Amino acid sequence: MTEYEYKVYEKIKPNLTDIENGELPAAILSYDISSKKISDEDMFAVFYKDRFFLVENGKTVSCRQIGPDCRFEAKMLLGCVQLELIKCNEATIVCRSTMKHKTEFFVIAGRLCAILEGRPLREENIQVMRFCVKCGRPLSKDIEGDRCLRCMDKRKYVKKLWEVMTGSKAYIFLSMVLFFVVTGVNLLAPQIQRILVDEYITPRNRDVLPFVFIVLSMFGINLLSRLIGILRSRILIKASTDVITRLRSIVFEKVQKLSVASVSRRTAGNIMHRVTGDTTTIQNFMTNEIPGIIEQLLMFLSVGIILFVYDWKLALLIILPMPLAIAAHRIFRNRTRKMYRRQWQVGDQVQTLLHDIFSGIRVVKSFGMEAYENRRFEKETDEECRIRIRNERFFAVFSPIVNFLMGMGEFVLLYYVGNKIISGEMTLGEMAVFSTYVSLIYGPMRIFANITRQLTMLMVAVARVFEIVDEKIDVDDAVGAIKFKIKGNIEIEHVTFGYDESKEVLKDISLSIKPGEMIGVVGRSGVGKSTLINLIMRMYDVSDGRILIDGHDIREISQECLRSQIGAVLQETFLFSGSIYDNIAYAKPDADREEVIRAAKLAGAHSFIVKLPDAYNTYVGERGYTLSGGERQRISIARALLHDPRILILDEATASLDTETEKQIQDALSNLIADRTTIAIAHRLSTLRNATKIVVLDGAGVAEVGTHDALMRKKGIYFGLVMAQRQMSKMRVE
Amino acid sequence: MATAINNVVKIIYLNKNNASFYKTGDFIGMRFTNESGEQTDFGRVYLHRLFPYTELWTNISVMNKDSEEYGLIASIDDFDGESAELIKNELSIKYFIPKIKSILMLKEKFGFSSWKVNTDVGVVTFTVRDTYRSMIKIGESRIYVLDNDGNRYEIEDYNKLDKKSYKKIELYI
Repeated sequence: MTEYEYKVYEKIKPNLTDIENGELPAAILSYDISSKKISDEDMFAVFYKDRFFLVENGKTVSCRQIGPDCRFEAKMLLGCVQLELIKCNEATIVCRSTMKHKTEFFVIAGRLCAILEGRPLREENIQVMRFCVKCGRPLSKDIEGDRCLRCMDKRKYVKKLWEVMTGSKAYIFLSMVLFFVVTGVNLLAPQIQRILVDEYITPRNRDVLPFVFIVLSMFGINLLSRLIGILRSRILIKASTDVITRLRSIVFEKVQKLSVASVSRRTAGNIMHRVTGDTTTIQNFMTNEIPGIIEQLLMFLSVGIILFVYDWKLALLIILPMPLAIAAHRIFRNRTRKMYRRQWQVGDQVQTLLHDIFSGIRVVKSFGMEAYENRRFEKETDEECRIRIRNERFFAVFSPIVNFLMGMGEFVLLYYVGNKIISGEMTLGEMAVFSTYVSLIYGPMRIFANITRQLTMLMVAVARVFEIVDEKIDVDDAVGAIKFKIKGNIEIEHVTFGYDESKEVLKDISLSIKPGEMIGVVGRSGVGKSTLINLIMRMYDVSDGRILIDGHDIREISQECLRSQIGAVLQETFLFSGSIYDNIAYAKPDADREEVIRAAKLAGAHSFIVKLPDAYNTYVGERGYTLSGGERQRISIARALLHDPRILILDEATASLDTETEKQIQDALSNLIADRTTIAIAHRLSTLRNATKIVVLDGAGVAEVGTHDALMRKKGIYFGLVMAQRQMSKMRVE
Repeated sequence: MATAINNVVKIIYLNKNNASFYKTGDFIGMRFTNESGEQTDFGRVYLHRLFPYTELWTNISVMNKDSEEYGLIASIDDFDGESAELIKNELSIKYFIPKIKSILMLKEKFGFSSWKVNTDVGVVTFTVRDTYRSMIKIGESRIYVLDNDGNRYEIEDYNKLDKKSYKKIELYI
């Protein structure tokens, strides 16, 4: 039992009847569906070696006997998972649960089978399950930390953003100081205005020199404020650009470290959006929004204090209509939020549609669907247009009303101040000061009304960025991972693997490959050939068993060391945007021209490259020269050969080539593979004739192993496959 | 072209005349009689809806453990009595999609939304990542909500939800 199961056992022990003293269960499984109803309290299945109990709401509701003729199977259904007991070929349901317990179901089914069959427990059978410390829900594998998504403290993202800012703290501090200076300078202007009105304009003072001085100081203050503003913006842009560059590098490095499994869970577009789009949102907020918010906040506080000190009654009168305006905003906030959200969604739909149509433009044209796509696009844009007009109409009415409410204080001010001036309690200059301060305090009030929307947008972007940064690396280098020169001895020992817990792709595979051997892997589609290769390259970690290279478990070898000595030509050839030369040299950036050309010749690529107008300088990849499937494959082979790996992996490497070219490459490869370990997957079995050993995979395991001749004599699966292919070739010839 | 495909690909449609279902353990087995009148007992069979979002009681594939198809049930109406009952029950075990009757709580924070809903199988709380994309609209007013654990919930007709519940999801529809 795991620690968690033991805790559960302690809790439910008093409810268990019919157990001998001190007998510990073999497993405890939580479930939450009973009689097709979801229970908000977890229920438990308690398994002993010879029987099991179901405990629901603190009561034992059922007890059944089990024996060596029994088997447990976990099944993933739609929206639920169930554990079945199979006895004499008849299956019955043990318990059912919503998907939140899916991992436990598969782990415990495996454990129970091992116990009933008397097998030793594997690592996957005793996998320690993690649970959210707050709500107790099982935690999925990709969550780092001890809380589920629901209970996670999202404020931690703000802290993390602050940590990323550490390197730019001096700049941020400096820009803050400048904010104070600008606010101070701006507050000074109305005071000089007052002196101008009260001491020169109203008394018609003709003292020219001080008058000019006052005007000049007003000009100076304005100029100073602008200059400091420019300086502050420059500092802030520097700070925010630094922060975002750092943040992007962190996200990018993290994506590179994540396993293929983690990256495959998201689309390329999604990751791109996080690295560029979301970080841009954060940057825009830092450069455009934060300065405004701080400036307005400082302004609001300082003007507020000044107004209260001057005349608290007047200040209260000015602020009085504010709650009205805020209330109007609050009432309509949900509605405006929904309106903008809807507009954004429709815009997003139009973008997606455009992306789809343009990516598949060949398909659209080849099926003559242009008119249909036009209609589809028109429909979406019409909808977007309709929503935009509706929103704009609403705002055309709403904004003036709110602004009017906000400005109501100014009418009150006029009445109050007018009275005071008539009674001689206030000068015209003081009125000018007040008017300016009042207009200064309304600016922040309007900005604060919209701040929530911007903050939400920022927090969503921050959360999305750190979601990637915080993701647990599931294929990570071990502490003190070793580096060494690989000789090429590969031992695969009882390896079991599945991309998810409900289906094992490879089951208990064992294989021994000696340095210099060429191994051919054959089998029908989907049997796990490419998976086996992915495991050797450690794109994924095995669920059980181990893979040794030169006697070292690959989980102990540094990934960089491992992969730099493996060369792979995969089914899907990928060329980066760049020249053909760059693409071949990618595997060995310090290679000289001759080496690159040699590799291209060996891969049979040189002959077609020289025929291209720009030869090795031909630009390929997206928006580049279009190469055929065979040509791409040959470049990819050249890349792998230039790499000069100790272990060469060919996954359908010559599938897109004609038989003649394939033969040329095969001959070239046979020279190369002489002193390195080669693993080749091929559907065209003739390719593997020279293999030292052919491994036939079938039904998740190794079905046959031997040389071509030995397997042909055996007349098993391999024989069948070869015969079927010969028949096909004959048919083609006829 | 379509006629050519029809000639090459044969689909075996199952109905009360050529197939019958029986209970085996907690599940169902099938006996099939081919055109020449030979009867085969396939043992336990597995049912899969071909269009789980849009067709609940039509186009159901009957397969063995290894996903080899024995035949298609064009409509559940092609069976009656015990067989029809067994098919319905088997499908209700396989497709566990609680129907949302009312939404008690829906709060969105930083891209995640927390839900507490009243369903036909009890009160459930769950978390949804990227709420807008996790709500799949089918037809005019039916919605599927996919939660973070991989569970599905169905709102049969959002227009029939009470006003408070409707207001909570209005934003995402």
